[in-house]
Amino acid sequence: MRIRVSTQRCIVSGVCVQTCSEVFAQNDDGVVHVLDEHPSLVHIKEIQQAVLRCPVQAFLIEDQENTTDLTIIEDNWDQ
Amino acid sequence: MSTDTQRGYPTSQCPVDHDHWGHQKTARPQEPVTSPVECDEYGIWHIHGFKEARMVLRSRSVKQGGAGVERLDKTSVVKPFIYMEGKKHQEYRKQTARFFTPKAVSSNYQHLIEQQVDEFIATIKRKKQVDLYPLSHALIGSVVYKIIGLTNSRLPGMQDRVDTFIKRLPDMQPRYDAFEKGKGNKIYLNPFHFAEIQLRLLVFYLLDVQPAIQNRRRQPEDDLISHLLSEKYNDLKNFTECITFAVAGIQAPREFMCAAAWHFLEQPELRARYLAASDKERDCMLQELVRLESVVERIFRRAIEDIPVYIESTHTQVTIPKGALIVIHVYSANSDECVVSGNPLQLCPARELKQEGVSNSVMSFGDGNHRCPGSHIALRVTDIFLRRLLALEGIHIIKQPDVAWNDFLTAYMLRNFIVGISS
Repeated sequence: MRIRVSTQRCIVSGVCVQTCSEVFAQNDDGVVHVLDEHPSLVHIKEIQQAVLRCPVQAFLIEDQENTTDLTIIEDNWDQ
Repeated sequence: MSTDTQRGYPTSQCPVDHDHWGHQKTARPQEPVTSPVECDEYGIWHIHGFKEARMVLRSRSVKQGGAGVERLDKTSVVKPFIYMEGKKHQEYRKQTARFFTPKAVSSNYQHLIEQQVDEFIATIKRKKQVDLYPLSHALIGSVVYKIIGLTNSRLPGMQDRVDTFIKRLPDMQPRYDAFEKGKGNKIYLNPFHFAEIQLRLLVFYLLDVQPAIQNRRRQPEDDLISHLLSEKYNDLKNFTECITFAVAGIQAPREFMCAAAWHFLEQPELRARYLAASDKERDCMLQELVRLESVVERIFRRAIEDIPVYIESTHTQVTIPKGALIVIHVYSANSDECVVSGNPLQLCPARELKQEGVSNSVMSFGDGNHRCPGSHIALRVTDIFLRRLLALEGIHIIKQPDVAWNDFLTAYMLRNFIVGISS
C-alpha cells in the first residue's frame, strides 16, 4: 500500500497526529510531516483511521490491496 | 454475541453499565428524525446523519452560512479569517495554525494554564464555594489572550469587557422569518442593542487591542497580532480578528468545561475513573463528553453548486440544489446509531464507535476546511483543569447550572454553576 500526503492540502487540523503519532507529526508550522516512510504494519489500522479522519482528505491511497508493503510519502498529489 | 436486552446493546462491546453514568444534559428537546437528509417546506435542507453531514462539510461545493456570515458578505469590508473561503482561508489558517499545535501548547502555554488552575484552586479553597462560569473564562482566556497577543491592556478588567460583549450575543436574535424563507439565519438587531454592542467593542479596542497593536509595532512577538502586522493588516482588520478569535476561542471551550465538570461531579465513579485513567483514556473520555455535550447544535452551509448526496441507509441519492441553505444538525449526527454504538444519548467512558475512521468527538468540532482549529487546546485546558478540580477533597456541586440557549451561535450556555468544598 502506498499513501501520498498532500502538505499543500493539509489545513493543520492535527487529527492525523492525534490518531497515529508514531507515524505522523506536525512541523514547526503545524503542517503534517511523515516521521517514518516505511512504518511497521503494526500501525496499519491507526494509519487508515488517520486517513479517513482527515477533514480535508489530504491523503491518497494507492495499491490498497497490497497489505504486505507500506510506504507513506509527502507528495502534493493534488497539484 | 450476548446482548443486554434491557439496554439493547451487545454486552461484549461495552463493559460499562450505562445506568450508572450520565445522560445528555444540555440538548434542547428535538423532534424524532425520520431521515438522514430532509428538505423542509421552505427549501432548507436538514442533515441529520453523520456520513451525510461529513460528506457535505467536506464538499467543495458549499460555503459557510451561519453566525451572521451572509450579513457580512453584503455589508462588511472587513471579513474575519473564520468567515473566509477557499485558498485564502486555507493559507491564512496554515499561517496561524502554528499557535494551536500540541507542541505550541506544551512549550508556550502549559505553564500559563497550570498557573491559572493553581489560582482557581486557591480561590475555591479560600472561598469554599465559587461560580465555575466566570472562572472558566479566566482559565481558557489565559491561553487565548496570549495566542492573540492581548497582553498590554491600559486598564485591568479585559475579561469583563469581553464577557459583556459575549453576554450580548444572544440578543442578536436570528430572524426566523428570513430563515423560514430560506434566506439564511439572518440577524435581527435591536438598534439600541446594536449601539450598545458597538460601544462595548470600542471600549475593548481602546483599552485592550490598540495598546497591544502599538506595542507589537515597536517590538513584534510570537503571537497573532504580530503575525497580522507582518501581513500589513491595519488596525481595523487586526481588531476584527481579535474579537472573532476571542469569542470563538473562549465561548465554546468554557461552556464545555462547565458541562464536563457537571458530569464528573455528579458521578463519583466516573470521576474516579477519570483520575485513574491514562492520558489516552482521559482524551477518549473527554472526546466522548464533547460528542454528547457538543456546545454547538447546528452548522450552516450554503450550496454554491448542485450537491449530490448519497444516503447509505436507503441506498438513494438526493441532490441539494445550488443556492440552498443547509443545516447540519450536530446533535443528531453525534447520536447517529450507524456510527455510535448503543445508548448514544448516554455517556459511555469506554465507548467504541461502530464506524471506522471517525473521531470519538464525532461531529462536535465540525469537519472539512472549517474544522475547529482549537480543538486540541480546548481539550488540553479542560483536562488540566479537571484533573486538579476533581482531585480536590470534598469537591461537590452546590447548585447545578441554569441551562440557557444562545440562538445566535445555536449553542447552550451554562450559568450560575456553583461548586464548593466541604470544610
